[in-house]
Amino acid sequence: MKRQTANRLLRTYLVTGASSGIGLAVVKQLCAQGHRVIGTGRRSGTSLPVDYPDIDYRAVDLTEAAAIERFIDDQIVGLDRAILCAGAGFYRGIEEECVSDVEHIVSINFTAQIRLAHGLYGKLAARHGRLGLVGSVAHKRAAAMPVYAATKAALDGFGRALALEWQDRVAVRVLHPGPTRTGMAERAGRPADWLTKLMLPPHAVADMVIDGLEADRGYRRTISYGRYLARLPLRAVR
Amino acid sequence: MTRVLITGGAKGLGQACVRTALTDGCHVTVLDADANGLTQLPAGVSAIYADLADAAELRSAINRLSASEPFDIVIMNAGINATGPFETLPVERQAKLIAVNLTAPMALTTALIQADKIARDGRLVFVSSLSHFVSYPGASTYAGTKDGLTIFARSLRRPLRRSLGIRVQVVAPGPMDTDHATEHSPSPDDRRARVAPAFVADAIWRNRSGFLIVPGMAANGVSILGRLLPGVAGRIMRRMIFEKLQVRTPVQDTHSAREQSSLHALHPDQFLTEEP
Repeated sequence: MKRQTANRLLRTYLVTGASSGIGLAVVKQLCAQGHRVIGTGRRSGTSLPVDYPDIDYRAVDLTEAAAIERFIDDQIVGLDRAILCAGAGFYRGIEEECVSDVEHIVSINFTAQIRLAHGLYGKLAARHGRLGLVGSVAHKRAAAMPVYAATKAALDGFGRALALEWQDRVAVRVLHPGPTRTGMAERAGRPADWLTKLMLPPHAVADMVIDGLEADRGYRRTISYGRYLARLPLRAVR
Repeated sequence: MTRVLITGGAKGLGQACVRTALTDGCHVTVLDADANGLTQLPAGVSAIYADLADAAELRSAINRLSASEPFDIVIMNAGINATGPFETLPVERQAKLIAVNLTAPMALTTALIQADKIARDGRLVFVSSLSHFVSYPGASTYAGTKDGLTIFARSLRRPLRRSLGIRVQVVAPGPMDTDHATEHSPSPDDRRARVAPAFVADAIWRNRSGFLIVPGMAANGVSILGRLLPGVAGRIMRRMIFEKLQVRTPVQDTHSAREQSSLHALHPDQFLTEEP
């Protein structure tokens, strides 16, 4: 691990949704690899756990356009990679949905990502950077959470078109993790059961997100169980 | 009498759907942000004014619809576009695009289902785009909203059919001969490749059962290409749409600055239009 770190180019990463879940796991992994990390999340800096990695962390409310703009203008100087993990969702069908939650989920999972991509373009292009959008396998359809599935499909379609637009300037990758053991499913209202134990471990998903962003071709990568199992022997060797 | 609700029914495809529905003897309700267009609707059509980009107006529209009789056919047609290189399009216009194309239809669907305003055996039709199959560089946010809407419909299809007997459908039309398409096309004068909105409206009317409606042979061919060879389709779209739009719109980018220098500097706003 040490030798690898020394050989690898050290970069500046921006990670959103860094206070918990996949975002937090990505931050930990990047710190372990020695990269400079700027993190944002919903939680205030003081309410983070004591063992939180020592990074430049800012609380940003992604539903506020002005907060996103201010954050990019004030905090981001030189950026090689952006990994947008922030997302939210409710595990419920249309009969239990409510209009204000529809607006909220779209604004976090889609509109905020558009604002971030728009604001970060200049900084990423200046360093020939890469933009990673973290979606979900629900982007194909999810009868149990149609609004969440729609926002993740929107992110996928946006990423596909943007990758074609920016192809020679900023690489765009959409990374779709399968069910991950982050606690999001429970917070979203899905009851914990035996399946929860079988979900992908966040650290492994974080690894695959970071690697997937460096992929040479194909805008989309699904972080599936199969891919996780295939990587297990590789991890053991390392 | 069959009751039909059409969002964005004052112009374009929505207007064609209104005409088809009236010919069929339906009662039609139109929801639109074009106050002027609403006054010019044929006699007997109920009009609801609402700018779906505005959260308060969306709510008042929901209240009006919740107090009405149930609809047999609901066509979620209202949509706007903004074309040009993503980074040069003002971000507020893109946020508005998302509100109209994605948030509003999902919110309206939620409200209509919960207020029990779609009749059993009724149809809920979402107007998506052929871009769902082939991508749309030069309108990245638009492409995202249409993919989102398609997957929303795909997710609702089974649950709504089983629990309420409602048939959910998606229309994926290619370029149409409407003001909307003309203003966003890289070659606005070439009308040959576009289908008439009446043709698409007719396809919606005739296809009562299938999930996906792709009107016309050309659009069908394109959708098959997109499904079989998504990478090739994307590259073709980039060449046919994005690279032509780049020439139309100035880019603050060193790569294309040379090509741009001889052209007149055009303000990107010129290519932003709305047609809810």
